[in-house]
Amino acid sequence: MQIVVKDLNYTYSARTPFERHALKGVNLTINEGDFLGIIGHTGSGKSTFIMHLNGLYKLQSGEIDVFDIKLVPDKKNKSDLRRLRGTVGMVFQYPEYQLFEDTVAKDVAFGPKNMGLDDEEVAKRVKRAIELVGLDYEDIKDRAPFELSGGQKRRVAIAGIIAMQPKVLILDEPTAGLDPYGKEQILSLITHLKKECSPTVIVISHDVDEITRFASRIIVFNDGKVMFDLPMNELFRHADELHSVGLEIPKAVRIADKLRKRGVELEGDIVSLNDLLHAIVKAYNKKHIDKTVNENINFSAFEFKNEVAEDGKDGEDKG
Amino acid sequence: MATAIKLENVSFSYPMNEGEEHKAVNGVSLEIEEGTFVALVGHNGSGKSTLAKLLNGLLTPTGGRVLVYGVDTADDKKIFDVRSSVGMVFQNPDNQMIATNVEDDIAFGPENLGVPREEIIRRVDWALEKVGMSEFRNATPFKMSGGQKQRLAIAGILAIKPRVMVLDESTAMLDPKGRDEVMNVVKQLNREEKMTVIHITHYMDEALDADRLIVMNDGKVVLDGKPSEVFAEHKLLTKIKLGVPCVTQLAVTLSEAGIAVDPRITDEEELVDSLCRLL
Amino acid sequence: MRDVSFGQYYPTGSIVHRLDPRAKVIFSIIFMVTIFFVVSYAAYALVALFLVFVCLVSRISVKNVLKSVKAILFIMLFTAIINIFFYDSGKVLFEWWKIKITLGGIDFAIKMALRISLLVMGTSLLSFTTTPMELTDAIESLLKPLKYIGVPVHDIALIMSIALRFIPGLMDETDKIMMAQKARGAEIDTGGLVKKVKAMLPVLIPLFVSAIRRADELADALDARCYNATDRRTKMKVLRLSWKDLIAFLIVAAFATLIFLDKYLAGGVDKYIVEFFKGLFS
Repeated sequence: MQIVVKDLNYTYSARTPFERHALKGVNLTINEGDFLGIIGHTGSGKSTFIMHLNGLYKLQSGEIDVFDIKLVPDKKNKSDLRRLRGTVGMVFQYPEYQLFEDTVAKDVAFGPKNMGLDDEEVAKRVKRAIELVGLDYEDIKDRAPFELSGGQKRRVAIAGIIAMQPKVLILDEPTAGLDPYGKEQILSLITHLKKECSPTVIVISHDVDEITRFASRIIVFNDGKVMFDLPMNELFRHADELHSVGLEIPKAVRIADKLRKRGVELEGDIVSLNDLLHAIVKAYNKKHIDKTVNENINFSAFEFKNEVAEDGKDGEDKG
Repeated sequence: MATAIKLENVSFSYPMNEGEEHKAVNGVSLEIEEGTFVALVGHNGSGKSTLAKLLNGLLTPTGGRVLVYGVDTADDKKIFDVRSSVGMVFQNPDNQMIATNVEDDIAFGPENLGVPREEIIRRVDWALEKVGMSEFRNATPFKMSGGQKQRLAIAGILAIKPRVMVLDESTAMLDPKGRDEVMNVVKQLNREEKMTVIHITHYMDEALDADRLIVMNDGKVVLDGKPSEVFAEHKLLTKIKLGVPCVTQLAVTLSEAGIAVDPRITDEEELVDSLCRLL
Repeated sequence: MRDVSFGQYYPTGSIVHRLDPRAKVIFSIIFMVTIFFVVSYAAYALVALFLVFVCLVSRISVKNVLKSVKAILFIMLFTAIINIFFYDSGKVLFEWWKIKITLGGIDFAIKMALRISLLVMGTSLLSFTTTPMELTDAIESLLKPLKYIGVPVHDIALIMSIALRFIPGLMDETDKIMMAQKARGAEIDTGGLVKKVKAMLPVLIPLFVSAIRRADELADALDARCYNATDRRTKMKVLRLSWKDLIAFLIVAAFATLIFLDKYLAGGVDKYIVEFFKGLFS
């Protein structure tokens, strides 16, 4: 199963003085099981691209095939579109802004209900989705979304997508606006969801450090085109090119480079801070055979049981 | 040095359902010296945004006093003195522009204060130059990047000629590039114009260069000092869900594993140096 | 998405774009009034010529201006048909039951349709060459006398400009929320009216919440910038009339004078033209 995109173009406000070509001939193949990161600065076309993957933008030119659901321009097929929305789950930026029901359970049920599932199945999925995002179902199901904390709201919104049991999960800037702890929670949640629910995950982020935490393949968008499509460990060899389009390289890559330049031997590919830590400890143990240290260490300051920690009761900062 | 802002045992409570209250700020006393760059850090819900709004009288304390250059913010008659001394930039760049045109928007503050026309034009020029956006004078902010919009918001505040600038999570919604742009502008203002800056954030990395770092938790100030002193308390910082900057976290993790690295390191070069000595 | 704060604005940077917006508003009013004094086809031709002239000077294609008539095409045809069937004057061309088509009726219908479309084209030229923001400024300035009878002209203008400023944002937001709910399988644009309204709730509620949040933040931002509605306010931009506006005024005035002369002096120049041609062929 694959997602195949062929020669995708998209133009905003065509034939007006405000015309803008957002996508210029994008060709891509995404495989089932990919853990894909998409980076690019604002206006690079990355958001426009993912909107196409579940039919939110009308195809102007090109072809898209998502797990054998075929989209071509000027063809309207409602049942295809419905199947597509059930196949590709899309978590928007600040997804908590889309909550509208008076209870958490009802809001999470919105997606599965729209899919035409029966009440029993909907209820089952709602419970599972809420538990999957690390919230206590019994405690939270009847509460109003508006009284939850920022991090909890976001997880409820994600549960609303998960309840549709999509095969592909797309998240657009999933950690935007969260504090460090909330960020860590969402990051470990994403890894958890890939394992338990949606085997193919695509994350858009402008924080390269964040993306190195999980993605195995990275696509760089620039000026409406795919600039790079590489495995993570190869991408950051192109540091200068990335820099020229205003993208940073991960801190771990930068520090590892500095160490290597000064003669420190670090083994393996280093992209994430965890990679860096492990390489440093290995190098240390090689040199200090008499007093080796435990190699089993982890970068994050926060530890979560069952992948997701409970949030406690941190009220909103705003009145 | 003169004191710019003084908080005397300040508390603030939001009314909640059924007559209960939520104490967002709980007995905070602080003195902020003129010209300093202060970073105020805390996780969501720690009370830092409420504290920010107390600084220019958008909120008035339910207990204690806030003095801005000696003027009590609760004094209704002097509220415009307070607001023109303490400028405030908010989180969402889209919700701070009033006009659809850059120069009109920047002129809005001084127009409100009744500044003469020629002086307004001078201030608009100056403010745009300070944020490095002179060429956008007649542009519309609608299509700009988050970083550019936020720099314009800063220019709009600069035009009222404040002595203190409060940034209330003004970098939270920006991408790394936008964040850098805004931070560079603010640092420069602090350096060149001797502007007192109070930068409220939850990115620990942005607190690294501050003169002073204040950490809030549960409505109270829990740590207050030079960044390197504050980061030395990494255990406490982790406990209150904040953590330490990336480099410090590396040093801490390595030192906890038993490698002799100073866990208080905040500077990348310093970390590289000490690792080179060990490896 | 198109930016509403620019309305139909078509930036070409022409001299018409750079005229004082107050002058443009007044010219438009003069134009609209003048249209109602047009009686002859020759005068209609003059109006059309005048509009083509404005198009040329403002570097806006005549096609774009004609497009604005498309929006009201249906209303125009409808009124024209009614006029043809029910306006009874002059030579009868066709009669059946109670319906009578007369030469006068056709004449009246054509003139009415011309009048409406020229009116629409004229006003659309105003919006093509003037941003809503400039219009707001112009209206504030023109309404200034009302301040002395207690109308809060400045507050009204600020509300108008803030609305203009925020409508694009809210439309963007509507778009985003709509897409987010569509991604959750919501079918927003199908079904009957009741179903449609119900289907809009998942969009309207978040939109409402967001509008309130924005209003809240905006209120803080206004306060932080010392907003007050007192008289000590000053203004950076003073609208100033220039020689350009004077020349434009002279052109508009000449145009209006010709139309008035046609009606009151000649009583419609058409009959002289017809006679002229008759003389030519006899």
